[in-house]
Amino acid sequence: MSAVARYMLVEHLGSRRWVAPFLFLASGVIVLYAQPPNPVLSTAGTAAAWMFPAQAWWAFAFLNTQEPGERQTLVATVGARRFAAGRLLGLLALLAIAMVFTAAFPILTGRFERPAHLDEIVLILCANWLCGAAGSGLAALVCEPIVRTRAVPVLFLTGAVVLSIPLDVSPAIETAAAMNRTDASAVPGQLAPETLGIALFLALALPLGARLWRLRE
Amino acid sequence: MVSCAGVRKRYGLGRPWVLKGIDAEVAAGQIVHVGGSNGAGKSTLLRILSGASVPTDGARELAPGAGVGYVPENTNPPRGLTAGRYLRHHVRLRGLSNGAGEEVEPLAVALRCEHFLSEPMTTLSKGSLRKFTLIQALLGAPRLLVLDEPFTGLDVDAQEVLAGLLAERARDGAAVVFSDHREGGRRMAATERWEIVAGVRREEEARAPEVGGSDAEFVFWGGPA
Repeated sequence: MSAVARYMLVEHLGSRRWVAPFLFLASGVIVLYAQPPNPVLSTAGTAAAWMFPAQAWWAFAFLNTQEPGERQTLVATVGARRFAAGRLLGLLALLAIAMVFTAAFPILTGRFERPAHLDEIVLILCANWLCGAAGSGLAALVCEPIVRTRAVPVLFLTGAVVLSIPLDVSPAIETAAAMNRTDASAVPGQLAPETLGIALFLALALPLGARLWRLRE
Repeated sequence: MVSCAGVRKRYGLGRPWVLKGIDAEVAAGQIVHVGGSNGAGKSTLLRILSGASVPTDGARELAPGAGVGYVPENTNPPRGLTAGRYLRHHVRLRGLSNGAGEEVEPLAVALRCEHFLSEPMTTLSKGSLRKFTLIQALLGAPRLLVLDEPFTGLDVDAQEVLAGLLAERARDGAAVVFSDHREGGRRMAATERWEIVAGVRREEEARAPEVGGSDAEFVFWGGPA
């Protein structure tokens, strides 16, 4: 499984398809922290919210790295389960890079109004993971060969990110709201329903995406 | 080695059926030539036999533990990899030991592409790219080889080398299934020919000599040598 993920990541990085979504993520984070005072949890919550659209884009780019012939060669070579597991591992690796970058940037550059405590850093990583995972789950539903055009996924991902806000189901807004506290001990309770909702979404989206992929390949 | 029963395939609800009920079986040592006109469903059938795709209806079964080597009809080069690195990745993907990587050099020499091992895949010609995708399919001696238009883009010498390599693999017990839509050209030995017409399999037109038998190693479909 790790060999599959490694191959996919090497090709993804070599393809430079990661550049645009990563710049989207990085520029958002940099702009967000440009204006002090940047209270630790609330600003980090807003940065985590930015990971929702950014990671949806990056995951979509990653899942579409392989052209059909190469993807089919990989599936035939390693089997569908190992291929899917390798993809998932690759997605998790990208998510880890994005969440660490988003969390580490204000800490390493001293952008917070005060040094972040360890429990706050853990909460920031959790918030980043939740929003990034939700974005990745969305991308898994519209990658190739499930949808063979580019316009439909772009509309779907943009629509889902935007429409989730008035529909009150946006993981970005909910996470930012849960993190908007001065007391770190109050945040886990606020994040719990959000965590449950995203776990449920992923439990539905990932198998559904895998099933649709096999039917459409 | 691999079989399919009642296989039907379409690429989405409301889309036309590409395969309309195919029963087929390939045994160890067989070389099957899949023929048919454009759009008949050859590539779809090969994808299903290889496991790259699943049938919408019906079943495909592969012998337990049989590795699969697959070459698709069209391949775009993976970006950011040299040909050598691409093949090393495929050695790892197959779970082979580093020693299995020693297969790469002789195969590259046989197909006369060893000089391109350090070249980026994106700079290779169509024929060279084809050779490296063929080499990845042959690594680790998979028991099932499924090759979609494997001779396309290859020069005549490389076509002969490839035909010899595949015949050798079949003699060693591998099952080989390949498509080749050209007519009149030299064909490799085939023990069976399937004709796919509009998503169904027509009865075999002819039966060629057994591979490794006393007959000539190569037979020619559609014309003299």
